[in-house]
Amino acid sequence: MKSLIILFLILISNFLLFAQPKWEKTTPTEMLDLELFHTTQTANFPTTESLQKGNIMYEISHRFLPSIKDGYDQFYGLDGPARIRFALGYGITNNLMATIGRSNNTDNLDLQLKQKLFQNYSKDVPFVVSVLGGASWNTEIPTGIDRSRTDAANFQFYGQLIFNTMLFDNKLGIGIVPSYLENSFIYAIDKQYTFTFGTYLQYYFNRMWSTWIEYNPVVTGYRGRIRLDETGKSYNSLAIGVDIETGGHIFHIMVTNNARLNTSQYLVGADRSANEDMWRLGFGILRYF
Amino acid sequence: MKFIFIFLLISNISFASEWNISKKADNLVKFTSSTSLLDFEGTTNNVDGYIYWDGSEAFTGKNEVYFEVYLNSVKTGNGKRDRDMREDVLETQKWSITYFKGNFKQVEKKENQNYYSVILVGKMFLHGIENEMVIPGKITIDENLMTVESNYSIFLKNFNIEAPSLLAFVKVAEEIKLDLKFYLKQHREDNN
Repeated sequence: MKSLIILFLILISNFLLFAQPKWEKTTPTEMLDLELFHTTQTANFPTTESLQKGNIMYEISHRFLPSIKDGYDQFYGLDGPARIRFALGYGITNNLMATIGRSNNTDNLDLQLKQKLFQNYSKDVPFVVSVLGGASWNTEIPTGIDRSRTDAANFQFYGQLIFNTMLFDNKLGIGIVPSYLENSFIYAIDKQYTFTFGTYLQYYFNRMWSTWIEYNPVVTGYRGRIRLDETGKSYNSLAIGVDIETGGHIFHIMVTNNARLNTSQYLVGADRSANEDMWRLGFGILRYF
Repeated sequence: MKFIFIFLLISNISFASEWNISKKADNLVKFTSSTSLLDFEGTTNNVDGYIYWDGSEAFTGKNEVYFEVYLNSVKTGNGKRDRDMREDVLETQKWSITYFKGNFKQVEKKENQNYYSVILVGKMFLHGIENEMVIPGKITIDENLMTVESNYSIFLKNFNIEAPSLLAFVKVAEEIKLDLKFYLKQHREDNN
């Protein structure tokens, strides 16, 4: 009997010793950043998304000045003229990106830094908060203005707090962007400021197609003209459009009442009211490298 | 009865050898997608796994090979493309790893070679699908370091992955070439 028990134990030990490798699976600890909106910016607002370290973004945007109502003679506004913006972005870290851009509207040159601050990985309501700070330099000197290009009055500064969330199985993106602009009208004798409460919604039908709406009401502060050859006040900005992600590019195609492109100009408000005669076509193209 | 005891005791003298991926080493998993419009590569060093055998010679007896790669760690050099790969192509929210589990079918070491030419047979898991694969490889053992190298291709359709159309942001070829180079260290209880 004793021999049988020993034999049994040896058999068991044989089985145990050679049955399995001792390797143990380890769970990766590295968390992916929350990625909500598909792009680092919408048509007019920043999102909380950032470029990966070392990645580059290129933007070209147009806002056509003639109204769609001008019809075929102006080819619905596409004959121009147009406000144009070019920009280059660079990922300094995975959560910090810099963008330098230029608009032909007062030859406005801007530099922005955007930093991701906080990510909430909730399954139901994931959200990310980022902050953007920027400076603009208006390099155009209009006739009759006696100041140098580098005069301090030509510089504007702004800050934006960006809140993004994505609901309904990554279909509906919501953005809230309270924004503050210092020196809203660079030709004013007394410095002006503008505070706006930007909002946007974007609904993704699939990876390629989405539709969106953006609204940027001026809550308080200056809402007048930004150029000397403009008259009257500025209006709350509204834009409605579609995004197409294709062939390595992202296209924003829209109708809007605001032809101002650079942030320090867009934040003052729209150059036209949102009544039916004033809608203009616009587009933006983003490319990520 | 004594003979049976002796036989079993001898058989209990372990020749088993286990080698685990050295995570500190420069492991490489590289895939290459080549289309008429765009070629790009994705790489990661986030691989884990082991090679095990219990025969007296390398890779003989009962043996097993297991490697897994954490797909969220693959980088192509373009963050937007990485995200589209994860979300639309590989669907890593559902299946975050790919693995190969198999055995040595053929092991050959010629006299003038300092490496083993091996053929592995097993199953590769990707995108929720397990497929039988036959994978060639080259294994070098240099004291306490084993180097495994392999190059082979997979076809996305075999793993129920639809290559995005050329109109999509991310353009991926139907055939994906894989280049693998792993470093393994012999498993010891005290260096786990």
